[in-house]
Amino acid sequence: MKTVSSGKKSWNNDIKAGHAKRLAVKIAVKIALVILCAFLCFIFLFPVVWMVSNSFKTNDQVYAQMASWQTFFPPSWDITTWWVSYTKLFTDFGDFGQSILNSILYCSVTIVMVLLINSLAGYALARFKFPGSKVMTTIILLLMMVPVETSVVPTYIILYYLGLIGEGTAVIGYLIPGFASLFYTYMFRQYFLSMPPEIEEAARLDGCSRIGVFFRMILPLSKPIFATVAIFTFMGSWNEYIFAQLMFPNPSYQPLQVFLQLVNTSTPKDIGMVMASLTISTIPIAIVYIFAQKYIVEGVSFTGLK
Amino acid sequence: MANKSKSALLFLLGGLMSLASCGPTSGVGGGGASTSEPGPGGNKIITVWVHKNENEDEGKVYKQIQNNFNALGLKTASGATLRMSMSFYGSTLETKISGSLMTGGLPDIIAVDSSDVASKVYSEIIVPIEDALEEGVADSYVTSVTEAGTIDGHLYWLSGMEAPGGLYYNKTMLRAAGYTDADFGTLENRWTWDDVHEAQVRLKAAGQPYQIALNEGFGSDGYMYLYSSLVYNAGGDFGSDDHVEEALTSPEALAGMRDLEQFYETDGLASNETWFYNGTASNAFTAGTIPFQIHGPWDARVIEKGSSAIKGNYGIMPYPAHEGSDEFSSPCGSFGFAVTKDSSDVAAACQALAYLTGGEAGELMYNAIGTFPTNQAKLDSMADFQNGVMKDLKDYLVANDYTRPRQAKYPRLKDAYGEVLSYMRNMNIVSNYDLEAKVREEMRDVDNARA
Amino acid sequence: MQIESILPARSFARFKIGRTEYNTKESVSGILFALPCIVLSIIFVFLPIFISLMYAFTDANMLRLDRVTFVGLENFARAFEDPDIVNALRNTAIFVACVTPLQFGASLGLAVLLNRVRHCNTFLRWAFFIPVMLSLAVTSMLWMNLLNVQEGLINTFIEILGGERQGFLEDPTQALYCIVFISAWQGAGYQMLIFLSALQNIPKDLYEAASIDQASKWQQFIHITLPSIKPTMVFVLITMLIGAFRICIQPMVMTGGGPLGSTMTMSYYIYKTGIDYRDVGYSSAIALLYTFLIATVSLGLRKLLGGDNQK
Repeated sequence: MKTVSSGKKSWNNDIKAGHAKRLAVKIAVKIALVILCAFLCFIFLFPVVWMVSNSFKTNDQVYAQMASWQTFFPPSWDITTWWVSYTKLFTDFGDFGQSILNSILYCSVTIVMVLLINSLAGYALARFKFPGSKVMTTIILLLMMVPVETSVVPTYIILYYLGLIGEGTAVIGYLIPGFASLFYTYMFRQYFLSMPPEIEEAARLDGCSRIGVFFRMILPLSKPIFATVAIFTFMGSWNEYIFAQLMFPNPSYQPLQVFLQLVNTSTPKDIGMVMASLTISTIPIAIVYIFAQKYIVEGVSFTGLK
Repeated sequence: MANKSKSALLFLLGGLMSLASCGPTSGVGGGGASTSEPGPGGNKIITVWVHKNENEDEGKVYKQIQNNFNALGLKTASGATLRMSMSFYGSTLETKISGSLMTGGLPDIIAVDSSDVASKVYSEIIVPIEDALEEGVADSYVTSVTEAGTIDGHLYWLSGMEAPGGLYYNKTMLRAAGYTDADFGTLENRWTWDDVHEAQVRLKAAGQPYQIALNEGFGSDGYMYLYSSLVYNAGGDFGSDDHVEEALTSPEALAGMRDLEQFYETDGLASNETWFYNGTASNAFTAGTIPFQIHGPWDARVIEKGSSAIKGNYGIMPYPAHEGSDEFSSPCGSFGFAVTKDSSDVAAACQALAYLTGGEAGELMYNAIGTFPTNQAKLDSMADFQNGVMKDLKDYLVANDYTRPRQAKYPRLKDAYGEVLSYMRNMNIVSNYDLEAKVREEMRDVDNARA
Repeated sequence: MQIESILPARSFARFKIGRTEYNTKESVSGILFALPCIVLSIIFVFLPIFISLMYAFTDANMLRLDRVTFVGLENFARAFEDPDIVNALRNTAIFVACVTPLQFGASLGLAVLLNRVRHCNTFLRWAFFIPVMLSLAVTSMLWMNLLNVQEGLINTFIEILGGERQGFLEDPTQALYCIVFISAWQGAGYQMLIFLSALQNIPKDLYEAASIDQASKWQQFIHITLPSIKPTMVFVLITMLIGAFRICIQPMVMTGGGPLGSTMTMSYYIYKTGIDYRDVGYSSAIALLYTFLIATVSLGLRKLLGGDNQK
């Protein structure tokens, strides 16, 4: 850093004054930054605080405290009074516990299959030259723009013709449409394109097969993208409920989200219970995110590089 | 190349069309209607698709109704034992039905909302039942149910529950404003909308809370459920499919809608005050913060069964009348059941339907979720309906006709009507407020759309 | 776009399609790798979309899918005369034009801030990302309550400060802008992460050189930071635009398209005509037209900005 001085006579004083001034500016900037960060933290964090604090209240308490700062705090400091909504949730819905297990099972299977199927396809698009590979990439980009809100019924009809809506096969029918995702394939492709091909060449020369290279070399080096796709898949699959209700009229197969939807849409609405259910459904996402944060940051960033 | 892809497209489209017209006709395990004819001694299974989840309160009741029915061991005309088998599709029932149209295998009975009967008749999904029902069954229901189920002179639908509504009022507050019990409206001597607004003015002058919760946002059918009566009360109606513009721009219909205007106007108020309740709390009335609300029977139940602050100090007047008109129309309508075109034995299905929507089912439903039974005898005999607000609501129910339009384009009409009333609500913001022009514009869109 | 072969070809079997030459063995492996994905996406991605788009040429109704008749271009003709589409397009255009700069600026600003702040960096990053993780149900319910005219916290606050209560989501002139703000607030954290890593990848010596030249922080930002992350900016901009064009759930949950149609967007209109009004044929026709529109805009932008994100 350079010091700028003006005039000869009092340059010593100037330096002192300059120092003090710059110090003051520096401190002011620091304070401003701290205030800014605190403010931003509040803006971004308060919904979570609101959701969790209201999940500890009864419906009447929620509304009674809505228009005051109490809305961001638990109803009282007696922790034993906080669990009314949670208890109600588990007693009102007999299959609630089972549904959490179902959700975990469905999510795990979906994540494994999504990672496997789409990473292989992404790798093929990144590293192999084969007829249709260019077209595929273009189609992928185009399809991302189609509004898909109305394709539930066609999917159901296709599943019917594949024999996948019966009692025994409905689980497969429910899971399988979610396996292939063009968006994830594209993310994998982008990631693999960013990796230097030299390592693979070396392994190939050592006699490793294509598939061997993929599993032994590429996979361990691509943790960030796998973690990112995994968490997005998790969030998508964890939040799905329309298809679940359609495929499983029997509640013992239904995932958690179907029950949360019931709480959400039931009248009269019990906001405390709604918030409790939303809190429960956010916990797993938060846990996964906290543990995989490092990879996710890297992985998300990669969707923007290139 | 261009030619090739064009013919491929046509081929696929053709494939799609054939897929649409000649799919297999029996469902794969989806609970489709059973087609085999059971002999005497066998079981005749009646399949039912329900619009609720098995874990919801209402769903639990249906499950119980199913079990009770199966315990009865009723026989069909050919001597087979009737059994009911329900599948719970919740909010996806509609999707399930659409899908099943192409894959075959609708069940014997499906749940249908009262407002959707016309549309399902128009699409030929449900079939008339008046000839298959046992003698006298149809007469045991309240008028609003049989009217809702009748399209072009044929009965298609029955329901075991009704949701009568009215004007909830807080007696303590009104007494503080100088009203006595003799002033409150009854079926014989109803309040008009103008009376309600006048009471607001008096309440305000007396320093009391004065807002009315109009509950327009209640449910997706909110506007239609609570405010279609405006039109009927003033002597108007909703016309028929493709002719709603004409009907709703009639002087009567417009005058009816205008009954609501005074609550959105701001005369006599400070700049940030409104005559209608504008908050989010769904319990504003039951918690005793406002003196009036227009609502269905659920809040009466909440107050009666719970520990509400206003218990014993509130009442429910009949739905307000239109000044100078004797018409009585009041909120109503609910989910019910109908027999589908795929049912192999309409008579047997009707036996199940009659039980599913009968007095016992209605009583179970009332006990669990608070909707009213539709069986006249039940309404006369159950203790709850012999006095107090529940009796008042029952009287309104019995006196009422079906007061929602029965049209195939109901989903559009419902939104258009909601749009008009929401335009009214925003009368102070929109430029050149002109209700009639708005009605004309919205309803013309409905008339132009495909049914 | 060019896909390079990573190995000296061992197998010399080759074939040609058009002007491109392929290595047979490589092609077979490539197709095999991609096969599960290709098969599943043909069945469960392409086919449903294809079927629903084909309905555009029919009078398909949700309740009469078994009786569909071909009506040619009738649905498209209807679309060009539908005043609701004009309204939906205008709302979507306003939404896109407002949310893109706001969210873009916010995410870039947050990234720059995080790149500067040393303390609590992980915590802050986590905090800014939280709205991305929350379900739409939570955020919309929260904002609906906060923004309520009569009892909302924000209006209470405005009144304490001496201002006048605002209609927010109930005011036709404000509702769309409220949704703009909420969407940007919820989405910014995601793009922030993308920008952050782009910022961290800028070589440090560029800044050192600039400091020696006595360039101010602002000048450094304009002349070094921005040019270095231009490809990332183009990518973020285009994905953000596509996302904004497809906005549907926020208005559906928070305002139902109202008040007075002021928040009815194209995607929501497509959903409404198809699902609520059961007019599948018409809904598919609009969806088809709208897809063309989005594709044209985003491909045009790609060309215009030059920064293609494909290798």
